Amino acid sequence: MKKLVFRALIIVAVSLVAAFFTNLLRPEPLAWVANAPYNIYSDCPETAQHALLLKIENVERERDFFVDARRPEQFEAGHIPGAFLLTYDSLFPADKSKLKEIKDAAGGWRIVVYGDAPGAKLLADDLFSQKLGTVYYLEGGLEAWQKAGYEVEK
Amino acid sequence: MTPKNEKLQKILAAIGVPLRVYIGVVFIAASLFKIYEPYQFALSVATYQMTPLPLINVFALALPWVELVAGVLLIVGFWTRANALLISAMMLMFICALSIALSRGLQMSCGCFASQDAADEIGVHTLLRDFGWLAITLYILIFDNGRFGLDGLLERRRKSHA
Repeated sequence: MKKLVFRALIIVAVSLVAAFFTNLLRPEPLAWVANAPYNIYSDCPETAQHALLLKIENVERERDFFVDARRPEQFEAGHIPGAFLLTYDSLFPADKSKLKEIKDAAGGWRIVVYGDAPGAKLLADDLFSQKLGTVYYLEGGLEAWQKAGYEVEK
Repeated sequence: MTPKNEKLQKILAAIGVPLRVYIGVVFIAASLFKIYEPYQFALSVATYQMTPLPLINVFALALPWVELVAGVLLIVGFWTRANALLISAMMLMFICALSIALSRGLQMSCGCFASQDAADEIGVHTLLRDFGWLAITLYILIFDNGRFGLDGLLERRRKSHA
C-alpha cells in the first residue's frame, strides 16, 4: 500500500509539472491564485430583458453590492451599509465613470439596486442594459430591508 | 499459488482490461476541455462553493492534468494499481462534492465534461454514475495488477533478464 501511495504521489507531481509548464505557455496564463471572487450566479442573462426582481429573503448581505438610486439627502438620512449612491435621473444617463466604479466595486457579484419606485427599477434596467453584470432590483427597497431587521448606515 | 488460483487471477485481470480502458477514456475526455479552458473549469469549481478562493485556480490548473496522466497510464497499464488508487481518491472527492452540492440544493452544471448546459445539470443520476465509476475503479485496484499491460510486460522482461 505504501508503494502504491508513493507512486500515486509521483503521478500527481508529474501532473503538477505538466500543468505548470502548460499554463506558462498560454497566451494569457491563469493566475495560480485567484485575485477576485468568481461570478458564479447566472440567472439566464441570455433570456432576461431587464433587471431581475430580488426578494429581501434572497439577499446575500455579505456578497451583494448595493446601489442606492434615491436622492442624496435620502441617502444621508439612512442607507444600506456600503451602498453606492447613484441617484436616478430620467433626463441624464448615468455617468460612465460611476458605472465603471460600480462594476469594479461589485467584483463580479450581484448588483442590487434599491430606492423609490419606479426610479430604482428603471435605474436597475439601465445598469442591466449597460452590461454591468447580474443586476437585480430589490423589491420593497429600504423599507423591506429595515422590516427584515437589517441595520441602516447614516 | 495454486494453478486454479492463478487461472482465476488471470481471468479477473483480463476482465479489468476493458474496464481500465473505459475509465481511462472517461478521464482523458474529462480532462481535455478543462486543460483547454482552465478559466471555465475554475468557474465550475467556484460554483460548488467549497474551495477557498486562493485554492480555486490551483485546483483548476492541476486536477485536469492529474486526470489526463492517470487516464493515459491506466490505459497502457503502467503502475496500474497506483493509478486506480489515485482515480478512486478523485472519484471519492467528486462524490463528496456532488453530495454536498445536491444537499445544498445548488442548481448547476456538473463541470465534469465540456458541456455546461442544462442537460449536464447535477442530480442523483450524476451521483449514481460516479458511484458506478468508483466501483469499476475499485475492481481495477483490487483485481487488475496490470499483467495485461506495460506492468506485465516489464515484469516478464525483468524475470527473463534475471
